[in-house]
Amino acid sequence: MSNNISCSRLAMLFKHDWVSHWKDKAILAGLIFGLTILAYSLRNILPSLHVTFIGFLIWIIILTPAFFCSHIFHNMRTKQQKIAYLMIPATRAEKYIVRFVDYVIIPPIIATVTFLIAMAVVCMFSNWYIDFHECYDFIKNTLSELQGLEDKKILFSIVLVVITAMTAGLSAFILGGTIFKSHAMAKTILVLIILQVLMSALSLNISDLATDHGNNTFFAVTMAASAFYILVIIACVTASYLLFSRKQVI
Amino acid sequence: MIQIENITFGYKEHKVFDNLSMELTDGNIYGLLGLNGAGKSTLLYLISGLLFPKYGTITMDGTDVTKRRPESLSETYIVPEEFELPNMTLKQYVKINSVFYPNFSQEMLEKSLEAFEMGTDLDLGQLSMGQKKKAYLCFALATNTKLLLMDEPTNGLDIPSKSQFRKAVSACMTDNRTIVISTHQVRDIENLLDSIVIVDDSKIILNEHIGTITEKLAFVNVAIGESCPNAIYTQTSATGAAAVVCNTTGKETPMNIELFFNATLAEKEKMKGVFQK
Repeated sequence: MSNNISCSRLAMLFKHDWVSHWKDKAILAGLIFGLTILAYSLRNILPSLHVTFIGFLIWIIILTPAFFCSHIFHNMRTKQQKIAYLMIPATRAEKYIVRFVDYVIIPPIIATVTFLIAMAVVCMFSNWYIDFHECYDFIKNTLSELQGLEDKKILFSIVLVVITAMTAGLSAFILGGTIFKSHAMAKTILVLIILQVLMSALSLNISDLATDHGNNTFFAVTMAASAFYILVIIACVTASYLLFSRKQVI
Repeated sequence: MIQIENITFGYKEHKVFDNLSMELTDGNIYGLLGLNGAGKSTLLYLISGLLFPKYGTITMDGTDVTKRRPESLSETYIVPEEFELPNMTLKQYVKINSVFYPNFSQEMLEKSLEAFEMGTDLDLGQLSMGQKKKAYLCFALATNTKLLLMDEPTNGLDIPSKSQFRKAVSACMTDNRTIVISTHQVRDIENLLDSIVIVDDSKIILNEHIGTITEKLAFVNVAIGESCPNAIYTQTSATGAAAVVCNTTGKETPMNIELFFNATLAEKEKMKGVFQK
């Protein structure tokens, strides 16, 4: 991204993007808020439906980042939209950053904040409350059960590999959203399934290696996997940016 | 000034332009004419940097347009044949888009809207296609960019709006502005153009100023039963014929763009000879 980045242009572009596409985020916020309220309202009335709605909610929160990442260039799906966006007087890097912030960073924040607000509303208007002390004690006890540096190292490597793997997955959706004009999410999932099948043999050998040779090997393998996922993230985002900057109106 | 140097461009197997060069100078309204599929829209997209040539360069005041730099984009505006406007008021649209164009003129926007007999309180989502086009054209004119490219701007406009369009464009023209209008409806832009560019067979077959054309050619009407032996090209109709002849008298005749366009395509070599003299 060697192009110049101007803060004032970024702000103007972000405002332009937000005003043009705020409805997607409003729908997301409304959906999460509504489902949360509904799920907890049903807690005492229909416990089985309450569980179903909680399930929906969890799925929506999990799928939200993937959905928005794969719609990163949803504003350029038609030729007319492509012309309109590419002709805005801003650098390619600025246009990419704005779409990245608006569709990769903001939606999970909106989802989380809306969920927390909805929970606060539920707590305010019902006798149900969240015992934060209980949550804190649970985390504290879990951590204290880890014996010594060795366990902490393993826990760190697991957390790292999970975070990097999830981010790599999202970066794949970003790349998918750049490549595919329509049904980007479904097509990316399909490609990921194919890749997963192709890599399954390799990953099986790695997990065998990890379980056969104890904690040190497990740590090394998970760290190597994290490094691999970081490379995947860098490759996907770079490829997505390069593809975006080479986009033409054909 | 737009400088196109030796560009080659094609879609997969189909070559649209081969080693094409031309220059567009400031202060002119160019009419980009050509048959369907000749590459008029492609040329506009290449000039605006929306397409990249395979070979060759296109520069705007020395800046490569394919770099899509904000400095050149803020001086370029393209009105595509088809476009989408968001569901918002014109005021909101202007507010979020005009900030990118340093020379945007609210006064010019209001004048253009007035020329089209439209007010400023418009809800873009509620407008018909023709009204949307008029609002979009007004915004494009008001951006005051050095280069304004319009692809079939009169498509979808009703008959009064076509003359209003000519009026609005003339009012917004300045000495350091270049306007390129690509169209196959040549009568809609008659009396508006300063220069004519004709695209055919992957090439620019003509790029001449109207003054030069009327200096070298005369457009005459021939009554039924009469002939015009010196005609370069004759087009017959129910009321007689119209002919293009070499202007030997030095007296300029009103330009008939449609006749000139047909003559240029039908008699390429003869017309080329006229302008090479």
